Amino acid sequence: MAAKKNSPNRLRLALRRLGKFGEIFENPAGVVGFLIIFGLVMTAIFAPLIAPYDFTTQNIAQRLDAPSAQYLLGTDHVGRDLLSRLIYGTRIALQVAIPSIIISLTSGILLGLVAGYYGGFIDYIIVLILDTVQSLPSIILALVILTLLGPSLFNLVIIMGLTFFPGYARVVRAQVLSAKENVYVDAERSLGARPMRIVLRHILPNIIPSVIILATMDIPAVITMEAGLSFLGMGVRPPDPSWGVILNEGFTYFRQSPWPIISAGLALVISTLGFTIFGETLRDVLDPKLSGRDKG
Amino acid sequence: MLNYLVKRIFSTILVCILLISFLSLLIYIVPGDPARTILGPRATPELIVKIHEQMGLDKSPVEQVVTFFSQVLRGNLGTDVFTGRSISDMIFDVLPHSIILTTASLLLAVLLGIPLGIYSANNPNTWSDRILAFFSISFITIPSYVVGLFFLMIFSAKLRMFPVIGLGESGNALDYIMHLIIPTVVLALSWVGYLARLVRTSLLEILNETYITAAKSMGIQNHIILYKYALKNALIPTVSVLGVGLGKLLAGTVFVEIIFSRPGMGTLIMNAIENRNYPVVQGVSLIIALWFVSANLLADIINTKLDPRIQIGKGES
Repeated sequence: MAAKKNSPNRLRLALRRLGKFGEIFENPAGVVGFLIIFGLVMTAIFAPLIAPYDFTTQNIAQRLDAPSAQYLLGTDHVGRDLLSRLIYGTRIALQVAIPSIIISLTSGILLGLVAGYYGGFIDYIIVLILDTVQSLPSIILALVILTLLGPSLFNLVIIMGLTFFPGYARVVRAQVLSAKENVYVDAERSLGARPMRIVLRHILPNIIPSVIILATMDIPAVITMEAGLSFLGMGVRPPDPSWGVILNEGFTYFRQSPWPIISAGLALVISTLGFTIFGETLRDVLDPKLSGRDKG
Repeated sequence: MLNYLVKRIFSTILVCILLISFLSLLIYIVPGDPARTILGPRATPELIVKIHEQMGLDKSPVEQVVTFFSQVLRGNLGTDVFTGRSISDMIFDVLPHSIILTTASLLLAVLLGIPLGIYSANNPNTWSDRILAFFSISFITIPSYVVGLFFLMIFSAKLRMFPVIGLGESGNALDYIMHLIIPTVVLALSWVGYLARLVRTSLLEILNETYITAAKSMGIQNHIILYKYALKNALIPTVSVLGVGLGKLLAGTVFVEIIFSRPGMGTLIMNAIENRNYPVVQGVSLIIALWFVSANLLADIINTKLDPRIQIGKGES
């Protein structure tokens, strides 16, 4: 299974002992991605310390201002400091993204394990459910449910969890199906191990790497979708400074000032790129095709 | 192969049935009385009863699902409570605009993405390949609405060579096309990147196959190997992804249409959502879902035709 791996050089070997995550930092793209993510997390945690103003303080006299020494990124349509709003926006982005991913991850893994391991009718029903959820494009599914439940941060998290779980369930199911073919699973079974033990001890550890990769790659998608729904007025509600809310307000006033759109747009571009670059490096490092070896 | 296709079509039908039931029961999840939400402060008991009748809320859930089904099968999506118009008429009035935008974007993505992918695979790990890779990842990652808003600001204020707002003068085909250009670019961008990467990966994989080495050792010219032997197989995954693209791009029109004020499925569903007009939301999402499901099915059918190995693999799992 791991036969394709080239013979690793000494440096790689040393880093490998430190854990595979060390390999990410051999790659400049991985370092850049990591730094962006680190910066975002720090910004989100220390938002009140970093932000020069409160994100709701209005200065009507200076609405839609261009960047200046007083307001580094300018102000929005009611004279709120854009930089401070962006900083607090980081919090919202992560506040939605992380719980959403955790929800979709756990429910996806669970359903995927059950479907893959038991197979047969249970598998058929689960796959049918996944197909149905995925038959609505995710943005439409989210819009439809948000229309019914009403826009709020909590509802957003639930809906994102629901929209993204089929991806995990499919990957896990496929991996379980192929893991089941392994002789060691047969051996375990013939030794009288219960299905639960086989799944938890032998199958789950083998599929964790691919699930981690998928989760890292999904974070930018969740951030994009949250901001997108908020931009459409169906996600985070004003005055909470989601990047999407800032874009929405910037869209209304785009003829007067480009700065709300420019700043929130760039925040989205940088953060999604950061997660994607990091995810891609992580995938190259943790490539599931190679990951079997260290377990043995 | 027939066996696989029958199975595939059967599960598609099941999915559609589940989907229609889900959409027709959605109204029950709404907290409170939908009629009251629609009417707002204008709600009088008589009006509420009237809306209940129009929306079929006076019937039991099972009856509602059945009625909705028979209506959908007859191509009837109900009547809009606000305007009294047929919802299918409302949808088919704007659907062409969205479909034109979707297909134009997919076409642009194919025309740009596939050649870029071939170029990268032909020159792997060179600087141009790396730069293309960076742009592809950026195109894939950057949200379409951010690109759309930037383009809106650039082309509506500074560069006026392309009109960006609305559909253009009605009946003027040239004007319509001019108004289509920027929205198409915005919608296509992520798929340009996606196709470029996909084609690069699958082409590189194929170029490592033994039959390519054999062809090379026979002295067949490189470009013949590339275009005649390798590309044919490398494009199979691309074709199946194009079906998904056709479906996803239609949903993606929501942002583009809102930003560029174009009539279409996106603006229709957003207006309906703002007015809590559930039957229209239901109808539009049903049509988008059916489009999505059939695009996927079509891609699968084409794919089995192109690569007979697929049905063997899928049949086993």
